[in-house]
Formats: sequence, C-alpha cells, structure tokens
Amino acid sequence: MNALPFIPLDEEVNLNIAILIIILSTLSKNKNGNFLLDKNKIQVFMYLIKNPSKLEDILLLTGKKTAPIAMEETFTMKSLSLNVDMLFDSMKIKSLLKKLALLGMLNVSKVDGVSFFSLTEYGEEIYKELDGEFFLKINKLAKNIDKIKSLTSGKLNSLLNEVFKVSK
Amino acid sequence: MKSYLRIERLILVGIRKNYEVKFENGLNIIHGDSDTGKSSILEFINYLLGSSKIELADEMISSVSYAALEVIINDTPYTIVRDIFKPLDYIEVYQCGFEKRESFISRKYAPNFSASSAPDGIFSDFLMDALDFPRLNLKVSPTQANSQFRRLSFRNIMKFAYVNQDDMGSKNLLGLGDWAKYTYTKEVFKYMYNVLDTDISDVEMLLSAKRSELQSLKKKYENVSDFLRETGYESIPSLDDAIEQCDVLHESISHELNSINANMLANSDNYKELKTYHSEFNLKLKVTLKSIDDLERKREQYLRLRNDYSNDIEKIKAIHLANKKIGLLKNVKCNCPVCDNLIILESTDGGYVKSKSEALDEELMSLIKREKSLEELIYSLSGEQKELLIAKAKLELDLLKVSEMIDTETAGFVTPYLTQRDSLLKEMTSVSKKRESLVASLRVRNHQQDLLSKQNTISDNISTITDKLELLREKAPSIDGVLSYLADELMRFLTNVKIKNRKEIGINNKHFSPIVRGREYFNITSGGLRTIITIGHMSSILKSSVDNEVNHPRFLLLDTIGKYLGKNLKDKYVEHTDLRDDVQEGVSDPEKYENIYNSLIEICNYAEKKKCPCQIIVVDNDVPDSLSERLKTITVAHYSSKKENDLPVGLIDDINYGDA
Repeated sequence: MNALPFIPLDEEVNLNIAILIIILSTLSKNKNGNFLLDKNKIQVFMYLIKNPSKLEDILLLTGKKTAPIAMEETFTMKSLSLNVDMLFDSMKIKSLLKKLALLGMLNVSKVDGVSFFSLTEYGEEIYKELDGEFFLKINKLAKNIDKIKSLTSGKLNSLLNEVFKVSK
Repeated sequence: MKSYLRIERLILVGIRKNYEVKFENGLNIIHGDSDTGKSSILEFINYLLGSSKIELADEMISSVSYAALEVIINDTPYTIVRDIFKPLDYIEVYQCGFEKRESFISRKYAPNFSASSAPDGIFSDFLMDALDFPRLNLKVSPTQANSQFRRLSFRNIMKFAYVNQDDMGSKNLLGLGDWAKYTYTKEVFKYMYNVLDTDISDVEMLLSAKRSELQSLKKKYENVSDFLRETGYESIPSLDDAIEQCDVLHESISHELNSINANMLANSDNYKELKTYHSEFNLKLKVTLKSIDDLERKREQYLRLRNDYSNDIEKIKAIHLANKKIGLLKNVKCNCPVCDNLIILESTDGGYVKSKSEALDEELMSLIKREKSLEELIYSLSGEQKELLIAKAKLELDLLKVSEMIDTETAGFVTPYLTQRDSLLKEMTSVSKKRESLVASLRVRNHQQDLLSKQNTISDNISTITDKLELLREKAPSIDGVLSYLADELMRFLTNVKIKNRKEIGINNKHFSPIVRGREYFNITSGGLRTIITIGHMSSILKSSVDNEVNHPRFLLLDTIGKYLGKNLKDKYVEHTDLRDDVQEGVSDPEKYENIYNSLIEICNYAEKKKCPCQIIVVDNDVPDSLSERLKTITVAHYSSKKENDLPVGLIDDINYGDA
C-alpha cells in the first residue's frame, strides 16, 4: 500500500496515541472533578488539535481565545484544505481507544449509561514523559480547548458547521 | 335643353301590398270623393321632394311602411326613398327605377341644412345640382348693404310649383301678408327669372364679407394701437436702431472671444508634453505594482510550505519519542476495561501505520534539506520585493512631480483666460437676451402695421367691387319685362276663363303679386275669383318656363281647383270668401270650370309643340261632366268612397274607407 516514497506522518499510530493521551490527561475532568469526555467529544477534540486553524476559528467565534496560537501552525498549506474525514470516521477513534486500553492506560467510568474516558495512573506517568517541541505545542493547544471543553458535542458540531460555512 | 323634373310614379310600400299612382307628361287628373286620399298623393310627392314633414291619415299609418317616388330629372331616372315616420332620417336616392334599386347603391342625403353629417350631403343640393340650378346664397334683406345671406333651397322654388289645398285661392298665397319673410320669397322669384343676376348676388356677398372684415380689422387695429400706446412700446424705427446696436456689440464680443480661444490653443504645447510624461510614469507604476503583488503571493505560498515542513519535522521527532515511550504492540490480548471481554488487536486496525525508524530518519533528513532551500528561496524573493518597492516609491514621486507641474502650468496660463472669457460670455448672453426682447417688440409693431396695410387692401377691394357692381346692375335684365310677360299671360288666362270686367290687370312690381281690376290679389274678397287668379298666375309662371330659361322644375301640382266652386265648398274655407261676391262673379258657372281645364290643357299642348317637358297634376273633387269623357284618358286616379262603377275606394284601396 505504501509504494510511494511518502510517509503519511499524521497516520503514525504512536503519534496519535500520544495526542490522545494528552487530550485525556488535560481535558477529562472539570474543576469539580466530573468526567467530560465521551467518545464523540474526543473525536471533535482530536480533529481540532490536528487542525489548529479551525480551532482558532472556533475560539474566535465563541470569543474565548486566550493563549495565542503560533502562526507557524495555522499559516500552512494544510490549513487551506478542508479534510473532515476524521470527524465522521468513528472506527479510527475506537481503534485508538482499544489500543490505549491494551496498553493499560485507559480508565472508563459509566455515568447515566454514558461511557466517559480518562487515563489510568500508568497513563498519567507516560503523559509526563512526553516532552519535546511537538508535544509542548499540543499541550498548548489543549489548553486553548480547555475553555470549550464543557460544551456538549452537539454544540461543538454546530460551531464547526459555522466555521466550515465561512471558510467555504 | 331646358331643365325639368318629371314625376313618373308614386309608390307607397305597404305591409300587405304596394299602392301605386303613375303619372304622364302633360296634364294628369286625380279626382274622387273627399277623404279618399287624393290630396295625400300630392302631399307624398311634396314630402318625397324634401318637405319637412307629412300628415298621415290613420289608414296610411296602419298600411304603409315607407314611400318611394320615381322621377326623371333631365333625362336621368331616379328613385327617391324616404321613411314616412322618421322625417329626419337620411333620404335615399337610387339612380334607377324603383324595381331595380336592389342592384344599386343608394346615396344618402340629409333632409335639411342643419344635419350636415350625411354621407352624400344635403337633399336640396342634390336636386339643385341634378336640375343644373345654380346654388346660391341670397340676401335675407336685400336693401341692407351688410345683410345676412341664406342658402337657397329647392324648397323655396317648390313654392312656385305646388299649391296645396290651403293655399289654393288663399289670401296668403306664397306667404303674402307676412312681409318680413316675403322679401326672401321675392328674392327667390328674382332668382328663378335670373333677374337676380348670379354675378350681382355673388359680388354683393363678397362685398358684404369684405365690409365685415374691414370693420373687424379696424376694431382690431384700434385695440392693438391703444394697448401699445398704453404699455409704452417703442416705435418701429427706434426698435430697429436698438437691434442694430445689439448686433454690432455682439459681433465685436464674439471676435474677441475667438482671439482668446486661439491663444489658449497655442500655449498648450507645454502641457501636452507634461501629459505624456504623466501617462508614461503612470503605466510604469502599474507594472511595478503588479509584479510586487505577484512576488507577495509567491512568498506567501513558500512560507506556508515551509511551515508545513517544519511542523512535519517536529512530528517525526515526536514520533520517535512516542515510539520509545509507548512501545510496540504486537497482537496483544487483554480484557476490556468496561466489560472484561477479550480484546484482540490487529496491526492494521483503524488504518494507522507504523513506519520503520530508518525510513522516518530518511524523511526527516530530506525535509530538513527542503526546508533549508525553501528558506533561501524566500530570502531571495524578499530581496527582489524590496528592490521593486524602492522602484515603486521613486515612480510615485516622479508622478507626483509631473502632476504638480501640470497643475502649475494649467493654472499659470488658463486662469486669466478663463476669467476674461467668462465675463465676455456673460456680456454676450445679455446682449442676445436684449436683442430677443427687442425682436419680440418689433414683431408686435409689425403685426400692427400689417393690420393697417390689410385694411388698406380691403378698402381698395371694396371700391373696385362697388364699381363692378354698378356695372353689373346697369347690364342686368329688368324685372319689368318679366312682370309684363306674366301680366299678359294672366290676362290671356282670365280671358279664356271668361271672367267679367277684365281691366287693370297686371303684376305688382313691388311684391310680384297679381292685380285684377286695380285691386291687389290679397284684397280681392271673392274666394272663387282668387282661386282662378291663383291658377292663372301659377300656370303663367309654368308657361313662362316653357318659353324662357327659367330656374323652375317645369311641373305644377294644383290641389282642389274647385275649392270655392259650387257644392263642394268645405266648411273650414267658408269664412275666407264672400259668398255674395262669388255669386256675382258667377264662379260656380260650370262653363268657367270647364274653361279652367281647357286653359291647362292648352298650356300642355303649347309645351308639347315647343318640345319642352311640362307636367301638371291636378287634384279635384269632380270634373265637369262635359269634359269627363275627354279627360278619362289623362285621369291617373279616380276614387269613389261608395265603390260606384267598381272604382277603387281610395289610395289605400284594400280597406273600407266608409268605416275609417
């Protein structure tokens, strides 16, 4: 399948697991300690982390932008295109969660029949070891998302729709 | 050939059948009992020749729908058709006999002068034209110089061709006694005998029109002059002078203006040169701006690409780290954290890849290389852009300088011209405004002058026309000759009828009425005598038309010759006659009665001998016994209310008159 001398870096499995670890670590609970992340919200946040220009648009739209997002991340060729496959392919996020579970990092809590995800202690340990420039950036982005992490997945989707309309 | 109108046939188109009476050239007699429709025959003829209305008896109303008259006018047959109930409807005329009229298109005429919208004009005009009678306007009161004119109608002439039962022997024959209207009848009489020369009447009409025109012009001129005097208008010469002054001024100003325009053109060469510079710089600036734009876009793209590269470089480094920290998963099995079911993981699950570390390093190296070369490219682009920006600034400065130069140049040479030009133009407009108003004043004055000159021409016209009129009057045929001819004929008639005491017989030259024994016709007391004179006078006029060129249709309709004679005197006429005088005159003498018919026959014979058309239609109660055999051949209708000898009961012969 990979006959071309081209490596789809965004599809590297461990990179995606690392991003998921960061999301689960930073956004899984609110101030009161209630769980926030179900499968759908994780999917939306994964998309926003990987497409910082869209994250910027949403933050502008809700008026909650605080920490500036580096221009190198938004002013790219990738930001000119609109790839939303990830928002609709739930198999991808399922497989990542499965892998995380196998690695013994995923903690699941059921509240009112809905599964909320967080990290195990082992997972938190791994999170602390993820340094380096790229992961620092991801952490920064996750901090930006912190402002909108309590919104429901329906509200997030409608905000995304607004953003797509404008960018078209 | 003499003009004539011959009545051929009267047709009353009825509901059940048509009722016809045929007529011949010469004498035609209709006789029968009273109330059998004899007089209606003449009334219908009169109506079909344009009378304004007709009195209809009950049996007519119930039986007749419309009337038609076949006539021959100057050898041409015509059929006249008219509605009997609506006298104001158009009269239809077919140029053919009654039976053939289906295949002809009718001409439609208005019955009187007031309805002028008829498709073919007015009925009277049709008859006058067909008879070749001149159509004239006659003076209503001939003695006045500016009298009104009235159109002569065939109806006016008809008075001399139709004597109805009321007029027969009446003191008011031909309207005698109503002197105001009679003057017009006199004019018609003169017209008939061409004594009233057409030239004279035309000229008189012209003269009258000219006089009225002169009068109105005089009044107009006076009004205009008064107005101009009051409003203080300049006189024509002073107006002319003022206009001339304006023209001179106008010309000098326009000359000056032309010279200024020429100067302006000469000085503008410098300006043209500057203008070329200006447009050149402008073009260069535009080109520079465009290339700066292009460079900017290119640089932007390179920058984006470089950011992508640097992000990817970070990503590869992160992948290395993640691989080290998370480790590898190879077909591991464990229990689900939610439901404790067994989870099996395949390496291809979710479409993710796991690249080899060497490949990633290779990619990393190449990305770093590409990033570096892109950076160099961006630097060089920036340099290029910088140069262009400097060039652009210089061009803008040049352009500004040239524009300033142009402005100063223009201001320097144009402004003084403009102010001068402005003031000149203002002056010129004011001069032409003034001229316009002067010309308008002059127009008014000229019109006034025009009125005066028109007056003069008309005055000249009037004097020449008056001269001409004098001349015509001198040459006109005298009325006296006509009157003496008619007096002779009346004398001959009275002699034939054997009236007693025939002396001082003549025609009054004032109102053209007969005089017998020195008494005016309307002063004669005996109704019988008046009747005889009426017949004599009317037949004399008919006979004169045989001998002379007279504007008369050459037929005569006489209603009830025996009106005052004998047993048939109707009650309503008794008061108009002195019965004792009638007895004294012996008018009821059958011999005199017979003589009247003989005289009428004589006139017809005379006309036949002269080969002149002539027609007399007589309506009477009875004919003299001695003549009845002779007259049978020329009797066109004979009615008997008691149907004696199988005679028809009346004009409408299919109803019972006795019951009506």
